Order: sequence, then C-alpha cells, then structure tokens
Amino acid sequence: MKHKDSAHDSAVSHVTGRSEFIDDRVPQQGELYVEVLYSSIAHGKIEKLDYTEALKLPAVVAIFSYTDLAHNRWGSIVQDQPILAEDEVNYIGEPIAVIAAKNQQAAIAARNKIQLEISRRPNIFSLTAAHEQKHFMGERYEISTGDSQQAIKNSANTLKGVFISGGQDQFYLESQAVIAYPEENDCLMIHASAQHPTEVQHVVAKALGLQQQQVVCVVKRMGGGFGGKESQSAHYAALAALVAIKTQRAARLCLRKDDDMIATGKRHPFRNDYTVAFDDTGLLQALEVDFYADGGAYLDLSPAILQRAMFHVDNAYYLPTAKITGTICKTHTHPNTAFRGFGGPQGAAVIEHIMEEIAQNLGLDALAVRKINCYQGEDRKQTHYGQSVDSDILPKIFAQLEKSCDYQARRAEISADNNNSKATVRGLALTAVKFGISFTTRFLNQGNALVNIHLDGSVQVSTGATEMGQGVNTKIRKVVSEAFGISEDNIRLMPTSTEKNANTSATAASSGSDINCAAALIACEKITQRLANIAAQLWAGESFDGVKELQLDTSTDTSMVEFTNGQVFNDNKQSIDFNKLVKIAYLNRISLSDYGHYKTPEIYYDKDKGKGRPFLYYTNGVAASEVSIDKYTGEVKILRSDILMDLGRLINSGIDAGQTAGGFIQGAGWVTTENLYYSDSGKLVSHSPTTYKIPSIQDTPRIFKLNFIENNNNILNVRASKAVGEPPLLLGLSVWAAVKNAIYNDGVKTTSKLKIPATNEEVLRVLEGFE
Amino acid sequence: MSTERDYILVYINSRRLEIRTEYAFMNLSDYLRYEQQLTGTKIVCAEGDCGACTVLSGAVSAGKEIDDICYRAINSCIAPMHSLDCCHIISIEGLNQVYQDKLHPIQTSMVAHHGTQCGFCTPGFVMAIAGMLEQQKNPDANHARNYLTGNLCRCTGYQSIIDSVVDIDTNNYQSIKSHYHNQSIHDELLTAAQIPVTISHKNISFSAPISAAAVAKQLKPQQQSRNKQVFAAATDLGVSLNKDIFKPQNAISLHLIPELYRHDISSDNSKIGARVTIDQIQHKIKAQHPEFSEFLNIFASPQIRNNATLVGNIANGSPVADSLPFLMVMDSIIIIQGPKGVRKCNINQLYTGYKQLDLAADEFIAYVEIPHKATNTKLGLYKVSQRRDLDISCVAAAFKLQFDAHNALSEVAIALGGVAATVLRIPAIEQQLIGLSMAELLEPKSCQAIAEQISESVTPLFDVRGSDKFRRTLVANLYKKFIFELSAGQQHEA
Repeated sequence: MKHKDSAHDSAVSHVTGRSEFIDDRVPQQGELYVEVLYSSIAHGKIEKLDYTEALKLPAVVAIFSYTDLAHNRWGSIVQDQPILAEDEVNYIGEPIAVIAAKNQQAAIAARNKIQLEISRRPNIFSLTAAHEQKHFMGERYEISTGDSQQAIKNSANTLKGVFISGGQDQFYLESQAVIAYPEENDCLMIHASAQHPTEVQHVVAKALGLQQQQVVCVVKRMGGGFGGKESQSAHYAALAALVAIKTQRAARLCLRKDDDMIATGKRHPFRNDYTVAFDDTGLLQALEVDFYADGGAYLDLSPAILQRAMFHVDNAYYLPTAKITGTICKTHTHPNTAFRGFGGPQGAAVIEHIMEEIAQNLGLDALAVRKINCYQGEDRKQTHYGQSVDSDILPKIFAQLEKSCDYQARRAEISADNNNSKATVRGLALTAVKFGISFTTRFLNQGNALVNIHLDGSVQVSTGATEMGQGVNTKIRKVVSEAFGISEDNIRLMPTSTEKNANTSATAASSGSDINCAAALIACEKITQRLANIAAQLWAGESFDGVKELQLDTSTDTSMVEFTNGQVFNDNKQSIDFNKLVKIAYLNRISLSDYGHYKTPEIYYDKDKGKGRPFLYYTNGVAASEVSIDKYTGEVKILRSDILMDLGRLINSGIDAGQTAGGFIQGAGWVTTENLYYSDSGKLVSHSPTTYKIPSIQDTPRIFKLNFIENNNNILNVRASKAVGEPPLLLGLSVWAAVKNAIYNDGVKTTSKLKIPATNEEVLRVLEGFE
Repeated sequence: MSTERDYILVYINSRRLEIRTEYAFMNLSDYLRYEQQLTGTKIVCAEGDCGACTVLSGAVSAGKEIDDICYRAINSCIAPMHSLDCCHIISIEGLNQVYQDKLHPIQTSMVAHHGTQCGFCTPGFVMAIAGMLEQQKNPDANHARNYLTGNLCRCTGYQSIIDSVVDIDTNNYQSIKSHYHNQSIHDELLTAAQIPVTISHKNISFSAPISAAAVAKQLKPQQQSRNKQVFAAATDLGVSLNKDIFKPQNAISLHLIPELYRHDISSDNSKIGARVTIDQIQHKIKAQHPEFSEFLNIFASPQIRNNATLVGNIANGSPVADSLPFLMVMDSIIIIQGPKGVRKCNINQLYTGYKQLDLAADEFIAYVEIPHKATNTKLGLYKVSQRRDLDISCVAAAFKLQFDAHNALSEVAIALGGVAATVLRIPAIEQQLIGLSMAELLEPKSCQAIAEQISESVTPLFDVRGSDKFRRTLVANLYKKFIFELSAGQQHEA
C-alpha cells in the first residue's frame, strides 16, 4: 500500500547505497584491524595464554588480554561478566584476547599463532540439564494473585505440562561493529552500531579507567538491532576502545557473521512447567507457571527479560488466580540477551499454547476459549500483577477481526476440506497481544532531546533514540514538524551522541518513539513558547531596532498562537513567517535552542510484592493465520494472515505498517524455521544463514492483510500514539497456534508436545509420534 | 594479438580495469568496498546466502553476440575477481548513474512504499530487482517472490518490498545494459576472451586456458589434487575461500573454452557443457524434463542459478547436491576430459565417498549428458529443507518408474540424497519393484511395506539439518508422497 505519510528519513540514501554504516567509514591513516581470540571451549580453565610468537608477525601491532584493562567486569544489571576472560572460560565465543594488526590476514594469522591451552571442566549446555541440576543464577521472582491451589482443587478440569520455546538469533544484517578513535588527553570517540550509546560510553570508560566525560559514543544508525545491540555492543566497543587507547590509533572491530552468531546472545529459550484449571466452557480458574529461562553464562539482561515473561503470561486473558515464578538457569552458552519482545513472546506463548490445549481437551474452537477468557468488563480487568487493563479494546478487536477475516466460514471450510484425503492438512488460529509499554525498571523511563533552530529556520534535533531502521527519527521529525508548523524537509535528526544527550536509556522496550518524541516535544514547546511571546509582542505593536531590544514578556497571552504551514498566527488573523520570527528572535538575543527532559508518568512496581503499575499503557492487536502442513514432510506454509492492531493515533502509518509486518514475520520465523542447533561440545552449529533459516520472501503469507483500528484515546502518551516495535512479534504466535491446530485436525491424539519452533522435523515428530 | 594475458579484464560500472597479482584473488565485494571505495555493496554472510552483496554481471564469452548479453544478479561476496574475467559488473553506484540525479524506478518505488527500514539489505534488493527488470519488464507479486528468494531482509517482513516491485513505474525505464554496454566494449571483451590468462602471485596462481585439452595438460597428476581446483563459476569455491575450508593454490577456470557453453539437445539426450548455468538449463530443458526444470526453482537462489553450473554441482559431489538424485535416476553420462582425450562414465559410478570422485588428478568433467525420458515414465523429484527456498536439503529423493506396454514396471530407479556420504541408489528395492503393475504399486499395504524398506535401507547422520530418525521417516514418506501423487494423477487421468 502507498502511504500518505513521509518516507523514512534515510529512505533515499538507503536505496542508493549511500547510507553510511560503521564499516563504510573511510579508514584513517594507520587505522588498525581488530580481531578477537574467542574461546572454543564451553567451560574450562585457561592454563596458558602466550602470544609472544604471534606478536612477532610483521603486520601485527599489539595483542591485549584482561591484564591490560583497568576494570574487567561489565553487565547491564549486575556486573558479572569479564570483558576478557581471566582464568576461566564459560562459553564458546567468549573473548579471551584482542589482536590489533594492520590488516585482516595478519590479524587472523596472529590469532592462529597464539598459544592457548584450556583444560575442560564439566559443563551444562541444556536448559533441561541446568533445571535438573538446579544450576541457577540471579534472583527467583514470584507474582501471584488469589488462591490458585484452591482454585485448582475446585476446578472441573486441569492440565499439567511442560512447554518449551526455543531461542532465536536477532540476525541483524549488520553484525556488531565499532570503531574507536583516540583523541588528545586520553579521550575516545566511539562510533558504534549500538542501541545504547550511553552504556557503551559507560562500559568503555570504566573498563579503561577513564571518566565518562572522556568518552563520547556516536551512533548514526544500525543495520538492524532487534535487541541484539542493546547490551552486548558495549562489550565489543570496550575491546576496540582498549586497542585505540593503548596504541593511539583508530581501531576497527566488525564481527564476521559466523563469529557474531557464535559469540553473542540470543532470545532466551524457556522451559515452562504449568498447571492450568478451567471449567467446562474453557474459562480459566487458575494458572500456575514456573518459568525457567536459559540465561547462558552471565546475567546480562536476563532478570528483566524473565520479569517481562512473567508479566506477559496472561497475554490477553484474565487470570482469576495465578502463581507465577521465574528462575534463571545458568548454562555454558553465550549470555542470552534482549530480542524484540524481551521475554514477552515467551510468556505469551505459554498461554496461547494453553488456549489451544484447553480447546482440544474440551472439543471447542480455540477462538471461543480465547474470547471468553479475554480481558473484558469491570470484574475481569485486573492483571495478576495488579494493573488494570483500562479499556475494552481487546473484545472489540477480537470481534472485528473474527468478522473481517471471515473466521467462522473459513473454519467450516477447512474442517470439510481436511476430511478429504490430501497430502496436506490445514489449520487456523486467531491469537492476540496485549503488550505492556514501559521499561519495567522505572528509572530507565526517561529521555532527553536537544532542539536547535538555525537562522534560516531549519532545525536539527538530537535525542537519545538510536535509529535501527524502525523509523524513530522519522517519527520525531514528524512531531517536531507539527510543533513548529514547518515542513519535515527542514528538519534533520542528528546522529545520536552522548555529548548531546547524556544518561539516556537504550532504544528498547518499544519506547524509543514514546520517550524521545515526548522529550523533543518538550524542547520544542519551550522554544515555541518564546517565539509565540515575541510574535504576540510584535502584534501588540512592540518594535525593536539597533538601540531598542525586545524583552521577552512571558506574561503575554499566547494561548491562541499557532504554528502552521511555515507561519505563526493568532485568532486575530495576524501572522508572521516562521523564518522571519526566528531571525527576529536571534536579533533580540532570544534562544533558538532548547533541551527537553521527559519521564514517563504514573508507573511503579514493587518486585518483592509482585504488584504495581509497571506499564503506562498497553499496545493491543490480534492476528488470524491459516497454515497448511505437508503430511509427508512436515513442511509448513502460511496461506493467509490477517492482522488488526491498536496503535492509538498513528504518527506515521507507513512506518507503523512496516513495524507490524516486520515484527509479525520475525515472530513467524521464531515459531517455525529458526532453529538454533548446538554441537555436543556446546558450539552453535547454525551460525550463518546457510544453516540458520530466517523467513525468506517466499515464507510470507500468500494473503497478508494488515489494518489498524481508530483509537484517539491514548492521551497518556505523546500525540495519543502507541508504541509498535515489539507487540506485533507476539502475533507470530498465531502461525504456531495454526500449526498446532492443523496437526490436531489431522487426528493425532495430542499436540501437547509441540515445541517452538515448529520446524518440519518438529511437526513430523508430533504428527507421526516418533521421538 | 598477444598470446597470453597476466590480468583479468573487467568493467566495473564505467571503469575499465585490468586486475593483476593479488587483486585477482580478492572477492568482488571486498574489491568494490576496499579497493574501489564503492561501499554501497554490503557484506553480511560472505557465503551467498543473504544477497546483501548483490551486483549485476554481464558475462561475455567467445561467440556471444551483444544481444545475448544479459545483466544478471550475482553474489559478489563469493565471486573471486578472477572468476569475473570478461564481465561487465554494475554495482549500486553504477545503477545510481543510469538516471543521473534521479532515482531508478525501483528506488523511487521502494522509497514510496517504505520498502527499506535499516537499509543494510536494501542495495542488494535494489540490484536484484534491477536485474529482474532487465528480463521482466512488468513484474507482479509472484515475480517478486521468485526473483528475490536470494535476498534476506530482517526488518520489513518483505510485504513492502513486494508492494514496491508491483508498483514500479516502468514508463521511462532505461535498461542498464543499454546504458553501459556498447559494441566497442563488447568487442573488446570478446577479443580478450580469446586470449588465455595466467596470473601468479607468491605461491598462488590462476589460469584460464582456451581449450579443454589445455586444461587437462595443466593438471599435472603428480601434484596433490586438493591443491588444484578446476572451477566453472566458483560459487562453491568462493564460499571455501571465505570460510577458510581450503585454499586452492592453483585455480583453473573453464570460462575461456567456447564449447563448454554449449547445451545441445539431440534426439535422445541433452548434452550440457561445464559452463552452462543452472538458470540456462532450467529454461532450455523444460520440454524434455519439465519435472527437473520445475525442481530447479528451489535450487539455491536466482543469484546462484545465474552463475552456478550443473557440472559444478556434479563435480562438487556433495551428498546433498540438489541435482544429483535426478541425474542418477536418469543414468546420466559424465564426459570426462583427460590429457589423452575424453572418457565417459555413468554418474552412478562416479562417486566413491564423501565428495570423492572417480577422477584422476589430471581429469575434469567437461559435459554431462542427460537422456530423455522413455515413454510411459513417471518421475518424482523431492527436496525437504528447513526452509523451502535457498536452503540445503535435509533429504532429497528422485523416483523414476518406467512402465512397459503391458503397464508393468520395466525399470525402477530410486536415488536418495542426505542419507549417506554420497547420494544413494537402492538397487535391491528397485529390483523388487520390477514387474509390478500400477495397481499393485498403488496398493496401500505394499506402498507402506516398500516405504519401510526404503527407510530401513539407510543409516543417515544426525546433524544441523535434521536427526537420523527424521531423515529415515522422510525417505519413507517421500516414497509414499510420490505414490500418493501418482495415484492422484491416475484418478485425474481416469
């Protein structure tokens, strides 16, 4: 579809290949190529690390180990991870040493010459093994409401089971990439492909024993992030920075895809032990889930991810009683990290699995079960953590999509068709998402923006938001354009830099636009207030010249002053060109720049009690997907998907449609073809697109319909919009539920063992019952 | 005219380049980015599996008229510079030039339809679509899907890219070929294509002889064969070089040998030279082997099919090579060139172990002959992979059933890929089926029994593409699927 709203602010440079990514930067004189020596052993003791021979190679400049760092621990929540391994390695791909050479060949030759001996220690790779051996880390969390045990006892039906969801690689196309430039007086300029420049700055400074004021991190754009560059970019930035500060030469570290996939963290695999109780209509009475998340070797963001999984175990459904616990398993694999949805998909997957299970056990249509359990009305609106679901949007969008996708007629047609002997069997499922918007850690919900108007009336805006393709800059540009009443063409979003926007949060939790648009708007409003004052003063007859200067009179009534179409005017039909007003402000020494700081209101959470209002609001959506399965091979084909989203009042429909479609397909990939496969020694074998299969253009639904409801009521958020980044990914679960439904439609006794991802093999395993 | 070149002749956009020494051994993507500062071409996987590095290549070879040249999408990340001798390469920067200060129609459409988000895959998509437009002026959604299986995008979910393709305004379309390629460039490349090439740098070398016999002469038998590599389009070699699997010290290219570009169809077979690409075969063999032509749709990606050759697939000899089960059930004949002439070998006798071929160190495969199907032959070709497109198979199977005048099975061939170190024939089961009637074949109990036997006859590996049990289930199921489709076809005919 064509969109009335503006194109992405980098669209033209993207399609012409002129957009600059990290490795496109012209090398500086003497710039060094940086390579990492990774552990090839999952768990062991480093017996020997000797690089004297490697250093003798002609083009090798330096090799560093942990002893060269001032501080060798980092971590977004708990500083438990070494930047370079000390005497122990805990996962394959863990950095041990960093090599600086004049070129790639020399760096790789040096890496091969380093003498490294590691003695193996017993290891735990799988979630199952870690669970059995109680190999846990971090805190254990609990959220409960009502007496679930009693409700289970009293209930007509209960189901118990273990449900497994697998990990997922972010597969951003631009791998982790960073260049560190040394500057005078031991300062550093870091250009990184990172979602969290502030954390890069802080981790680099601490690792090298510098003050934070000595380090600037700039992020122009990323070739995709999806959470994979939220925390872990800082690790690689520290390695490049170490080389730059020690050698006083620019240092470039751009991971090859294989190394990136082996070494960096992914979506957490989850094991979910559940008991669910329900009546004969499928209405939930109680839910008990023990979440076990595979954290990998270090904590990274696991605690926050686990919490979000626990918050989202209800997804769109009311839990009268619940007891939800969460535990992080420590395994000898890459530390798992953020990936779009941040535990939310893993939590929602459990209850969507349960919805299908209840329906199959009672012989009901799963949509009927979902609809009666969906949050609705006054009595059934409180989540298990105490926050109210404020509106009745969910039942409305359920009904609207059921109708618009022709659910009931298609259900009947599929049932009839599946009775015919065919090589394929079809399934249909309609699932929902209710995604909580805000970081669950309150202090992260703040942002700042710097807005500068230049004398020709054009504007530069700097915020803490990083652009990874999601279009946050395009949205901020739109909001600023509306505030000043000028064309978007006159506004430029500047590369994110910690010298302009300090103490920012990661562009994550779908909050990039919410927080940064709001901060930019606060800055704009400070400026427009001054400009409106001047305009009102001019219209009131005040004048200025070389002798007399306009003095800003903040008492003037500016309530009727508007900024539109490059003009500033009032209700008295008086007007002045925006550009002219800008000039006048300058000549009268009135600031044309300002800074805005925004904090998300009304949110709090007490994790000890498991109660609070962690989210400002919810983004909602529903999706219906129809799939066919080849009964002989287990191959899944998505025939049709219909999506209906509640994104409040859209800022840019093209951007929002792109986020929705892209998130949905990413979710569909997670639940079907994206399979992480590890060798017996704990090495990721599916470490490139040859073996790790994200959806291709042929894997998208044959019929794909995407719509938004009209909703102008989300006044808590900037411009009544809603965040879009993560929620649509959870709708990929409709594809998985449809696969589960198709298998059931083929007459198998139980589909309860179907895991995520439903690969061909997984589907055939459940269809044919082989283990 | 000189008798030998010590350089590769290529055009990159408007620039004529003679590439010598170590530069001839670089990959095109690295050469573009790091030697020519043309950084619009991106590298992601460096193994031809994502398409971010897509550029267009117009290859000139002896005897080709200017009209025969087509600018096709290839993966620059796995194309050694020496494999591009006598080619005209267009990168995204070259495409930008075609419309001067304006955008190419696909660029305009992608901007309008939000067909780009992070932008990293975008130049590759733009080039792949531009290549499609050189052949397909008014693409629809199906064209978009079929031409773009070689390009991965992680952001958009592809819908906006499909929309962009469907809505291209081709009213003022200017062909890239007509912009860049003219008779004088063509003649220059043609002339170069008649001169053999030898390039040496330190202990590595590249040569391109102009006759098959000359290639065999260069393959000295006493040298270790693994150090030498005769290659056609280098789509496998390029991956090996990037992933450090092995580095051939002496690469020998077949690209200057005119007769190896021939695909001749006689009354009883197709004879296909070592330089004929999969894409060319897919079109040309349609009448004789519609099943194979159709099957080739899921052979790698358009970028690979535009460049890779069938003989290359045979010579690489992987047990999961897509073409092998078909070639084996057809009893294809491999024509092998040695220093003293040619010999023929049935492909079923070619493989001796994992990627091991019954070839002397001084021999190479020059042609393959694929017999036409006898009348009353049923052919079924299957490939199961984790993802339908651009994936390596977990299991592949080919079934050929030939019926005699009395509708009894007179010849049976079953070939299975992905279940052993080589593609496997199962003669015992094949023999057992001879003489059966169609009705007996379709009978459910016998179908099940044979499927089980097939499954029991293999001992596959458990690896990243599937477990041993999955593979064993699959080979049985593929037989059942073939019989099911045969039965459906019978009902359809009746």
